Amino acid sequence: MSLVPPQPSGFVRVGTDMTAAMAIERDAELMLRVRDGDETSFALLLERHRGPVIHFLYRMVQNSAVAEELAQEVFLRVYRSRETYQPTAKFTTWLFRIATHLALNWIRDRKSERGQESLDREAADGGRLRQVPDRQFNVEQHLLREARLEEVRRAIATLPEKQRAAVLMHKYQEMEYSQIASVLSCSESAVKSLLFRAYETLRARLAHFV
Amino acid sequence: MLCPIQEGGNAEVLLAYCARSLDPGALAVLERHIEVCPACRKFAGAQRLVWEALDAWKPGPVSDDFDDRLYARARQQETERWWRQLHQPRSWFSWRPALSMAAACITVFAVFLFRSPDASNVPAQGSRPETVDVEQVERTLEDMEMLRQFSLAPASLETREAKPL
Repeated sequence: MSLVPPQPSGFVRVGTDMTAAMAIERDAELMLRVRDGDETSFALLLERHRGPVIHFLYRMVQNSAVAEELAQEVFLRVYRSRETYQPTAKFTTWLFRIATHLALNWIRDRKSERGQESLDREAADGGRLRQVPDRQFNVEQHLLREARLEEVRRAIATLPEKQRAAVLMHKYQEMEYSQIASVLSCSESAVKSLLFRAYETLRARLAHFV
Repeated sequence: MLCPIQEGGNAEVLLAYCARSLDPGALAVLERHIEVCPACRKFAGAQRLVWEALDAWKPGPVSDDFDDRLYARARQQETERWWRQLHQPRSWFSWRPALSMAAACITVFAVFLFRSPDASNVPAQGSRPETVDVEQVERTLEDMEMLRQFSLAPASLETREAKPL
């Protein structure tokens, strides 16, 4: 199986195909070295993917402590699976599949434990803690910016879980439809449908931002 | 160019346009279409707004001790796994083959036990079954009696010859 899926015609991502292919090969190569007992390769993989995984999980669960905890579990699972690793798919697809699975499980468990209202409150609190104050804004601008960010967070949080995961991978991880489909274990057309509905909801919710 | 909205199911071109992931050729064609299509212009405007709003949402930095905690947990899990393997004989020894072997041994032993007494009664190949004939026994006894009388007869003759007439 080829590690590099073909790019859809008419579309091009910011990075070039060659760069992406090299990055994919690099990840698989590093993971194969981890499988052979090379601990430094695991450190390199962690260095490359720590940020994207934590940020994705943070946007999914909207709680920084939980996001880091889940990210630790993601990398622990990768490490534990090193002996059976086979480079049959993109490393990032595998990584984000684990991350998405853990995030969706956490969200479902949380829902059944507490209910959506308290989740929103805690998400808002957690979100505020994560924001780095920007000194170039005055107080009014800062409050306005915070209010808008709060609306964005709420809009994302109210999306159904799969739509949320699809939007975050499409927007922030810049993943192709085919890769999102692999992560979510669904078809490309299902991903397009998820994204279309999700963006439709977001457009309606954030329309007053003009 | 056909309108991506009116064409139906091709709004992904507009999503790609807002995500700035269209190649230059497709981008130029779509931009010319957007100039003359109010529906696409409205869609693209709203989608661009969403895109910018999401751009503004930046997560904070990762904890400094994230890696240290991860490595500590990995080491702990490795140690636990090692001890589990050491203390759980089931991980390398299964009772299943032993039980099967025991069952087979019991079966063989039982077969041997129940068949052994019969084995002495089983006649050897080629031998005939032994039958006791009462008449034959009687005849034999009579023959033996007759022989005994014969053996006594010469002795009486000798004593008669020795006696003087």
